[in-house]
Amino acid sequence: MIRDITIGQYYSADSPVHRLDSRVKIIATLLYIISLFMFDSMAGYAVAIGFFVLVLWLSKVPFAYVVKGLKPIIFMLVFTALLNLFWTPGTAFFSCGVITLTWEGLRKTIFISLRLIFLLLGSSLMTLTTTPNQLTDGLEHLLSPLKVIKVPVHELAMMMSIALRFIPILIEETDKIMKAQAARGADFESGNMLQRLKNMLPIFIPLFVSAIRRAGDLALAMDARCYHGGRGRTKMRPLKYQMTDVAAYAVCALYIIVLMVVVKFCVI
Amino acid sequence: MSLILHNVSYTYGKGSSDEKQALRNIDLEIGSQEFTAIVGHTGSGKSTLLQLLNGLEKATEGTVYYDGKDIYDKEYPIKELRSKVGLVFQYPEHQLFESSVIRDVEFGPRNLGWDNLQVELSSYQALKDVGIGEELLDVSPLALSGGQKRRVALAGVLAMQPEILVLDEPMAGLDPMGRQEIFELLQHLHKERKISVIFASHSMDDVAEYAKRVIVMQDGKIVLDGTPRQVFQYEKELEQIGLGVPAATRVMHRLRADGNAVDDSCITAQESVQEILRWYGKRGAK
Amino acid sequence: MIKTKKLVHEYSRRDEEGNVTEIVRAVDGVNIQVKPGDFVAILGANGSGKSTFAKHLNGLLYPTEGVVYVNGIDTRDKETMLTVRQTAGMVFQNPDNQIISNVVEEDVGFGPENLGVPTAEILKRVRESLKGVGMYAYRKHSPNHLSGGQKQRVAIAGIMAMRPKCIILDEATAMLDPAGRKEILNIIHSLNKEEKITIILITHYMEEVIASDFVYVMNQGKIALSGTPREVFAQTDKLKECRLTIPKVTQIAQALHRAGLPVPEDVLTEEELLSYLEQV
Repeated sequence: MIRDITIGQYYSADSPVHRLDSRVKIIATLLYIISLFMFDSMAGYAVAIGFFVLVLWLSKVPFAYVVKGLKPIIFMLVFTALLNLFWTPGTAFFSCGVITLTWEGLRKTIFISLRLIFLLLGSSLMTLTTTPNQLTDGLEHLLSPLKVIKVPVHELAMMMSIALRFIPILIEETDKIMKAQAARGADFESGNMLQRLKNMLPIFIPLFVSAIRRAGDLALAMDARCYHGGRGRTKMRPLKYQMTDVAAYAVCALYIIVLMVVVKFCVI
Repeated sequence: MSLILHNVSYTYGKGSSDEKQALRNIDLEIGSQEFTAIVGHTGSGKSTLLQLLNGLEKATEGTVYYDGKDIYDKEYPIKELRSKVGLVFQYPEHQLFESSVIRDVEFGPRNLGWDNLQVELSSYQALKDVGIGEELLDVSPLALSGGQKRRVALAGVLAMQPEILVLDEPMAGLDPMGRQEIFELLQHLHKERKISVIFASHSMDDVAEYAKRVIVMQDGKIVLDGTPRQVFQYEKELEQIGLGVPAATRVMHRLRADGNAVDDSCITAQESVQEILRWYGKRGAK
Repeated sequence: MIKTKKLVHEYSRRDEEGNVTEIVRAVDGVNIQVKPGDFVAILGANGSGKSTFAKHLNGLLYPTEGVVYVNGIDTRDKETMLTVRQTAGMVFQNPDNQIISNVVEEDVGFGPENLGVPTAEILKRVRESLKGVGMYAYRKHSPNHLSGGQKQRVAIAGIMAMRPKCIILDEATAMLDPAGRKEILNIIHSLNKEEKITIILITHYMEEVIASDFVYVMNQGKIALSGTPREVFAQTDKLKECRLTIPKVTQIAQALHRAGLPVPEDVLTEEELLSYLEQV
């Protein structure tokens, strides 16, 4: 079940979007998310959705693959939608007992759902087209001004990258320990919440011990390979803007301008 | 007591893009009083096969029968099977979790719902069987040496009083003496407690020395099944699938291939020494 | 290349309140000398102190007493720590716990990046090291889908990219299957012969040390035996005291020797045994 999550997964393909500098993609995604909150009209959504479809097409990522990323938030989506649908005051178009649906409520529901959906689709398109390493590299670069106020940017990026490397290993290990304890008759399914939590101890403790052992090993291995923090470190693939990256920034700017113009002059 | 696998197949991630068939149409019978080795290189399906034996993994096709009963039957008491067929994973010391040795060993029997007296008796006996002294009962398992931890983990399964003990590479990571000690322990359990032992191994020398039956796996299929003496005659075939034969067998095969009149069915060092002495004496007499 | 003088390593065990309950001498007065280009094996059972000893050879641990020299540099000197670790690289036991990156080639580049090697030079070294261990085709892969032997090859490439003079393999074959072990042994032997890299192989597999130039056997923190593999394997009883056994072929040869056949006690390989048996 844990393996079903597609957020944060990389979809390998050779596309203009994949080849972009990760900094461009991070900034573009941020801009896109902000832009989703800049308007409250049909026309605005049309432009925003259009832009997404264009980038998706360029990225060669199958639509179905991106949509899979929505699965974990379906519950939240339905919940907020219902909340808005039932509790927004305005002109009613349907009424039955305590339930009253309003035009305003319907409009708000659609808009908020669209906003949430495209917020998630936009960010998952970024992670799908950017390897975790490029992502941490890009973040390290973009956040590097924070070093001035003593934020350990390099260390944070290194931690993130190591976490990404070890998550699959620890998931596999959890699976193995669960099986080993099940072979000793352990039961993870019955009992109340407290009971179940207690039943998880035979998994958590060995997992914790193993994580600590791995962390110790890894620290030693990093020492052995002359790791001594970010000072004096060079990069095997330093980030360097290409013409296409500049063009991509221009496209993003164009999107924002078009969006602003459309929102201002279209009334729907 | 008998464990029968009938036409068993197992496919990982069925229906997904990285579907992989780990076992293909396996027919296998394991009886009482066995001391059987399962060999095969990494990815041959032997670990998956071992996990089918106590119902931990469910075959995607085919059936497993324990004492004539279908273990996939809805009514089948699967917990009882976990106790009858004890499964020891690779590096089992990694699953120790309790605050003391004795409590960790008691985990299995308690899960079976036995009464206190039975749990304690069985756990003490298991620890005694694996050679963990009483002075270590209240020690934290994390404070033990590597070899001791493995014994405690083994005792944790033994305390459930299995009829079959299944072990996935029980010698992995141990030094030569440690390996020998584990094997002596398994032999002791086999003889004194009448337990059937099934173990996966990469060492043909160990298999020749200890096993009574060898099952060779390749690509999810059983390709050879017989006594070590029978199986190790197929040197070329075993080399081809990256396994090889015991050093003693290799020496005898090569002597014979060079035209010497030796019996090349030897599999242990001791046997081949005797055979070489016999051959040498005869040749000297000429 | 590497020299230790009366090396001692002690650590203390503490109880739950943090009081020292015991001082353990894991390494106890060890002297070894390794010449440039040598292939040296350190044999020892679990708990013999060989792994602790290994971690002194590239400054991951500092001596309690005694000195370790790596290429003439005292490892206690913190100023030259990076030089020591770059000169003597180390491959560890668990293949998973020493790969840092999610992509093979980026992992190999990790060492040179830390050393501040210029970008173009890193790319060249990564390419050469990966080709050297036969993993170039996997350069864009994730380490998670590689076999144990392949992961260790990546780890070796990661060390090679730092351009070391010596590689220490700290039980690097212990968690591998026979095929993986063979892969690693072939690679380190070829690095030793072709690139003249000094190899220190720490193991408890007797078969792996047959082809080495010199063997030290450790027991309870001390060097119990040393010599060429031939000299060491002839001393079966002493090896047994160290919880080690000799290879099967040598066992057969020794039994035949005792029975009066013209076979020496120090036979190491099948070829040798056969040639003795067939020439008589």
